[in-house]
Amino acid sequence: MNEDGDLVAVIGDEDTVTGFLLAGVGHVDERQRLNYLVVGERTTDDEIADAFKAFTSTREDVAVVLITQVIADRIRHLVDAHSRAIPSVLEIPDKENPYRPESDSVLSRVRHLLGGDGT
Amino acid sequence: MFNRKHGFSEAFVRGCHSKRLSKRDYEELGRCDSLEDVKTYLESISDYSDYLRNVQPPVKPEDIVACCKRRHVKEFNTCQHQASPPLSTFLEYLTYGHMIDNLMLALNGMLHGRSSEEILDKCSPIGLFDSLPSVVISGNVQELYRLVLVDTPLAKYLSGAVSAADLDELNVELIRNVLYKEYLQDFMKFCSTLDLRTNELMKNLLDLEADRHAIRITVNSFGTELSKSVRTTLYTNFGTMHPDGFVRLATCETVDEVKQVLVTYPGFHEVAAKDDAHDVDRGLRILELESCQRVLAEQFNLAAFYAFSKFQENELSNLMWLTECIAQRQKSSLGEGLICIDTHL
Amino acid sequence: MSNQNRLQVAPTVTQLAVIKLRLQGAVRGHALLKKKADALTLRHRAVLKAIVERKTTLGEIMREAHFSWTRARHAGGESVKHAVLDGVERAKVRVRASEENVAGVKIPKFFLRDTGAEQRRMELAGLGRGGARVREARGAFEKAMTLLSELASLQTAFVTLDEAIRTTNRRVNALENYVTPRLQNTVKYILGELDELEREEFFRLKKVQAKKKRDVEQAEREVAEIVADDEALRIASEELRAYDDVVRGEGGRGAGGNLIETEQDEDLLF
Repeated sequence: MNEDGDLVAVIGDEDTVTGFLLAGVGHVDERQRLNYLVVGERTTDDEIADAFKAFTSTREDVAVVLITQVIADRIRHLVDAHSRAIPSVLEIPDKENPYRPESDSVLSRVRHLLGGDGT
Repeated sequence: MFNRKHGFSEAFVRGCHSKRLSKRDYEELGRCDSLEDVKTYLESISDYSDYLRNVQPPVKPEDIVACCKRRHVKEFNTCQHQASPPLSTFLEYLTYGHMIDNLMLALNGMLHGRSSEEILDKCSPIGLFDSLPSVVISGNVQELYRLVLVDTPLAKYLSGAVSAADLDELNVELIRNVLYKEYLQDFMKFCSTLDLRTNELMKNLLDLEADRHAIRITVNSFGTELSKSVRTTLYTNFGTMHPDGFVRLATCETVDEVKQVLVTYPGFHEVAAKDDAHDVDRGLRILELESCQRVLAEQFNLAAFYAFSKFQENELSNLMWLTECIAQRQKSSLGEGLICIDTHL
Repeated sequence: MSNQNRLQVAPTVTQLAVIKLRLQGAVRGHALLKKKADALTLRHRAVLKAIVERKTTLGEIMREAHFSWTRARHAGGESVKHAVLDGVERAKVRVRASEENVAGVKIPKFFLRDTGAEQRRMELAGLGRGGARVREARGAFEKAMTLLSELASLQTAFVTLDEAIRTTNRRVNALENYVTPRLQNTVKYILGELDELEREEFFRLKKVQAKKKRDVEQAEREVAEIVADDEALRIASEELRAYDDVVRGEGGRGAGGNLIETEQDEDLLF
């Protein structure tokens, strides 16, 4: 664990990623690895999956992974399969699609546990 | 004389200009609830249908903005192709702003290790220079500097203000604004070689642009590392506020202080009365477009082409705002960003 | 009581004491774990509630952040976007994890940390156009980031607690349904066995007693018999003597008595 703390990784559309980079989460390390992935029109599901796997299991220096919901839907099986506490995977809304709490993998578990009174 | 040389071009831009979206169009578009509706509306009017045909649902704001941009580029290129001097040179000058942005994009991208395709993809088609692709592929910042000096009209701006070593060290934003300042000053000089009326009109427009540049730099530098002394170097050597106003701007530390400077200039009186910084910025843009509107009311001058390009920019900006507001369901904020100067007199 | 559901132990008093101790431990452990599970569940529910609340706020905060970035792009054009995307250096915002202890479960908690890394390349983004809006957007996304780090903490707590509760419940269930009954059965078994032993011992003792009695009786009887025999012998010999006398008397008077000497009488006895 770095003494300065761990990184926040972001997977999202250009605007979402840019916003978080603006907030200062972006990092380029000595090996020129990035802690974010801009998903554009040409980005394939495999590329997204690779980035997600890198952030959630390969890289040791990532503690939080932010991923927009629409993109999380494209690799839903991976997101749902991620059950470890760290890194924490958070699904966030992008600018166009309203936040759908019901499809969020953690929140759906939450609601299920609260027995429907979780609103 | 003017008509024989530039009559066709002028008629062409006026034709294009008359097809800019009107206030009524924006009102109609503001009623759309989805970008599909926006697309349908745009297809039903003007020449947009050609550009929008290939846009597949789901329509994104960027798609519509990109179409608008392609259309503007085509208009501009058509105009440029049939232009003869001095109009052709004048139009060249209009591309320099974009060229500076492209150069900075290349520089920033190279410093950031981006691939050449990525960089070229983002460059504006207006303001491309021939050697840009090869520079970008070389990936060498010093090579970039050399080629810009040899190959582009920006050479005179660059050589005077920035050294090759600066490209690596100076902040890209700083270089951008230094170049822009040099460009405005050079443009002003060029305009003084043109016919009297054009020169007069362009002086007004560029004075205003110089003022805006100084005001924006001042306001945007608040809270950043940019020192006041460096800030001063980014101000132009002309402008309605030059020199006293700029001297006073140089010491400002808050938006209120900027407004106190502005209020002493009759032209900015109204702008200075605005509540916050963003309203000041918007006020200045409206002033600019109103000036452009007055320029377009006259005939037989090159300033009309400048005004035309400003209205293009505004349409692009409006469409971006409109589509984003609709996409993000923020339609209540539509009025905040749209600027509708009715172009149809 | 099946053989499988108890420990394989020798049914002795010592073992009984050991097992009883173990049973006591299991019961106390069960109570403690149950308490722990309750504490964890309570916390779990609180975390869930907080997550739901935060996630509901998240929608609004992100909407604002996105729109403020749209304002920045509107004011500054595409160049501000590129300035940010190409301006990434070292992370200024990192998260640091510290641990909180809930009923013995370590729950990581994230804190946002400003590393102070300069963002020189993007600090001046939009200097010529839109810079003020860019700063606002930065503020909006920083705010979103603060909320997201809270959410990350809560979510991590959620996952950790979830796992801890499951483990604890598994243990509670194991104690309740397996360990405790097994120990109880073992105790019952040992007690049963010991009872059995006791009964057997009693029976044995009784048997022994009975045998002893029998032996005594027999001895007595034998003695008595001997005594009786002696008596009988005596009686018999007396009787024999009496018979002899009779024989002798008849011989002196009769013909037969002439044949046997009185001295020779003894011999006749044998």
